[in-house]
Amino acid sequence: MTGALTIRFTPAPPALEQLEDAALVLLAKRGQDEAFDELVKRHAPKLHAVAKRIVGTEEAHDVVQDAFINAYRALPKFLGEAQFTTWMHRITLNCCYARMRKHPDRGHDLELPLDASDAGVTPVEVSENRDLKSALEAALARINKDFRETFVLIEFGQLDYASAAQILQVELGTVKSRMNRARASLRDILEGWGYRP
Amino acid sequence: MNEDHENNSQMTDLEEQHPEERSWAALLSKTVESIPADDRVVPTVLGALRLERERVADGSPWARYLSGAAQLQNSDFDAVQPTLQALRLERRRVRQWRGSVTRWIASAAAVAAVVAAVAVFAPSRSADATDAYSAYQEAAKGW
Repeated sequence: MTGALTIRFTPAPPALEQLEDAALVLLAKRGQDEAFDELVKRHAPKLHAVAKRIVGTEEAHDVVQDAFINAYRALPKFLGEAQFTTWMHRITLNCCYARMRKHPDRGHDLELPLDASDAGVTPVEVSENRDLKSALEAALARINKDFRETFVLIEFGQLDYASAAQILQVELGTVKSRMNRARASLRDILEGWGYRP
Repeated sequence: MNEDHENNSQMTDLEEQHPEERSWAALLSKTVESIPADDRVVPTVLGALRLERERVADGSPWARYLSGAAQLQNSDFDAVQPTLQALRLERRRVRQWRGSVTRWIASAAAVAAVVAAVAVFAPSRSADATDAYSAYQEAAKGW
């Protein structure tokens, strides 16, 4: 018997969760809907966090939903010049603006309720932590719109400054300046309420 | 991602700040990080995408609403019924409104037709009258 049994192992394709955004975009463009679903799972919570601080809790769900529907429709035109997350943030911001134009008289509920899922150590820490979170949300609602958008994109959207500049269509220096001024405004408000680092 | 984000933030402007500003920036970032993201938006978006793929009413608010209502738990069903009833009433109201608009357009078209007819025939009648008057004047010269 000269014929040897050869077993050829074909590596299993990596799970979608392990793929980078660019690969998922490529698969989604080829018609694999699960790849786009994975992008939704990956990015929707962060985009929701951003939208919530711009249009309020009530509208944020709809805004994120509209943003992903728009992205799904426009996916064939997405050539990958920007990162997917940058592109999605831009679409989400546009949806926020559209929503605010549509309902200019609607008071956006930016002063958010206390968050019950804190993970502090002692009851005092839990209380202080919760206070600070609520205070930050309330302070954010009071600062200039441009500063708030910049702060929200960078801190809640976890974007770098260059991506934020691309999304906001301003210079990098403007983003830095807005970020500093956002922090200064928040600091003024929070200090006025008795908070210290 | 978080590490990248922190590195990028630090590389961009934190190093240019005074210690007090830096501690404030750190406090703000830390507070933001401690606020959990809301994962509940994911099923909402996935549901809307499913509708989009099935091309059900272009992912319209109606389709989304009805789909959302269908996905509710049984315990929420009591809350859905009055809303569905309200939807039926809303649809009826829209149908009635469409009927009124159609009737209004039909009336406007009829009025426009009458006005157009008057506009067409009035000058010819006027011309007839002018001719008759000229003939009368000619005849009167002979008298």
